Amino acid sequence: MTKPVYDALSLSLSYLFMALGVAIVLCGAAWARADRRARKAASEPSTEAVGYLKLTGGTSKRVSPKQWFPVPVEGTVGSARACDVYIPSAEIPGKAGRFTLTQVGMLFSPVGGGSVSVNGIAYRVPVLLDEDSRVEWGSLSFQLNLLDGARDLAAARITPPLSDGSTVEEEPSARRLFRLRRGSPLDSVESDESAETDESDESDEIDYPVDTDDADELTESAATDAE
Amino acid sequence: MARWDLRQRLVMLVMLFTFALGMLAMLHGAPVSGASTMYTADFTALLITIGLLAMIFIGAYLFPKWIGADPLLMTMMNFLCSLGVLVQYSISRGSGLYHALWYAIGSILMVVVSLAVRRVKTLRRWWPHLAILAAMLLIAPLFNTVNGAHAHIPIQRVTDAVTGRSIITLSIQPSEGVKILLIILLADMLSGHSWRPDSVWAMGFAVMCVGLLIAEDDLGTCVLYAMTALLMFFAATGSFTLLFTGVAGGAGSAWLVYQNTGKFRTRVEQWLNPFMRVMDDKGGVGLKGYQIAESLMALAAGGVHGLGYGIRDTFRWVPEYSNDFVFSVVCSQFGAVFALAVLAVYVVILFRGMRIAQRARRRFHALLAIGVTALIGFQTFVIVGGVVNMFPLTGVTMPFISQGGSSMLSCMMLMGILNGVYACADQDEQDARAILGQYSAVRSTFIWTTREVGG
Repeated sequence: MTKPVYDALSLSLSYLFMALGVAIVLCGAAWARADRRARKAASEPSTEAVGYLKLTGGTSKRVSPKQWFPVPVEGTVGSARACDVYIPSAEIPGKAGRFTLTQVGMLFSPVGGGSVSVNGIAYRVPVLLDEDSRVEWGSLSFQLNLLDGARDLAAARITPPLSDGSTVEEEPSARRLFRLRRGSPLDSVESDESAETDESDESDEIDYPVDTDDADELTESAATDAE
Repeated sequence: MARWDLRQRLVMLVMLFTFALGMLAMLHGAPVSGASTMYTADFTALLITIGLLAMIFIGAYLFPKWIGADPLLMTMMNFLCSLGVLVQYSISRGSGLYHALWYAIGSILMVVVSLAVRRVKTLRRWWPHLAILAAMLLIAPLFNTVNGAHAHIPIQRVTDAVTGRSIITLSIQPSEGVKILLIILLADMLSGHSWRPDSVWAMGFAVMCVGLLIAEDDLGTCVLYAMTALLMFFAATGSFTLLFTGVAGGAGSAWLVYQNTGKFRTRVEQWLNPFMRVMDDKGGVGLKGYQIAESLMALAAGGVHGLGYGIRDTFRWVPEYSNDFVFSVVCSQFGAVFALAVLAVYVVILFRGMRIAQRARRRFHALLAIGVTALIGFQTFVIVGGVVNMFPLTGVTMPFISQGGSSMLSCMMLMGILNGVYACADQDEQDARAILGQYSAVRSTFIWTTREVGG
């Protein structure tokens, strides 16, 4: 190819490159905006609060008396800013624990080897919180209040008796679905040995009791039954 | 669905751009010996173009599946890298091949870093080791002088047969690697619960790095480090007092350096009067800001639509046109509109980086993303501002486009960090959705149980 021909071709293609450059920027910006909107729409329900932690006792510099902290369906609680329930107090560990709303109530799992006092008993293992449970860290005391929908879910923990006095067996897949490691006073920090064992078993991550397929299956079966 | 359509459109546009530019590079080829007006087809350019197209496809479709990378970020980065490789190829064939080689190695490193970010939770026990490593890497170049600064470690030297002078053909710039260490260490130190004592360590580390860079006379990288560290401190603490103190300290330090360093004073004078005529050492008349003046003339020659890819007449007098002044080459070949589009691509990458930082659920990851985004943004701003004479020129590279193995590798590793944080944020979102699914299932089970009981 001769130089003049190449120069003419190169100059004419420079208009194409200019147009492509502008189109790439516009398309990239549109993609970024669409992605942001889609993610925002998808994540909105997860920010819904199902209850509140209300400060009922103790004082702290940056926490007002009777202050309420919204509790979402699942998340972490602690004095680190990254926590979903951020309580700015030096008496609370950076990441005190994780909580998950389950069929049987609000499950709280202390993390990092720390303990939490629930209704006056110290736990180092996952513990179920009921409505009005008193949760304490240091001198700070909080009361858990669940909203109506969550309270109904917590109530499902007690299976009502049938007319003949017997109780209904839980649906097997549901039992498998919500297999939880419940904490009991026997697992409290009073027993050092058991506490150590529990600590080793317990990691920061909770084994979520949900299998997505099971959850879908359950939803479908419930819908079928409702029909 | 709209999201997928946009992805396809963007990837197609980038591939079309690369293909057209690659074909032009192939046609341009090399002048036939003895006939300066004839060109032969260059099939090496064709091979490079095929490789670049493959990288764009892999980055947009396969990396998101394999390592959870952000497809938009990858596509934009690959657009810049493709442009860089082909622009370097238009400057010289060896330079283009060299750039393509580092791009390929950098892609592998990016995958490794991205996977590592997903696994590392804290580096607290490695703080002293990493800080000492960073200090050693910054001290090592102090004993060598390359291009008037102590920022490089020479690897390979050749002796010029005519002049007998030793010419460095290959060198590494340790500060490019240390900037990754700076971001990782600052993010980890500032992400802990007890940030007050840790932040003292972080500040000490940042000050040490900046001090060593001043000793190296590498003022451009020094400015980058200082601004990135300051932004990370502000992001971690939210303290305007700290921010203003840092800015005031930086301004004071700059004044001190200006008063005591001849090199920096010369740069400022060149920035203020680039076209002033001065006498050179040989008694001739030259321009005071020769580099900037040539760069501005190349920018002006490009005009709105450029002179065309491969036309070398306009930038051949610009010094360091494959490194510091590569933006002048882009402007002269593709024009001002395309150059603005390239800058807009950087802006999209920056917005995407900030979005990834917002989405990150862990403080460490959020600070990592902020640090990486800030560094790439400041680096682009500083070099483009220097090339268009907005402020004094400092010798930093333009990310993904400038020639330089150390720069290319560090930029790719930075993108690996961003992609790793993106993957973690995606994983956390999926977990949250699983919990939400559980919540719905619980509600359904409750309805089912109460109906059975009631029935």
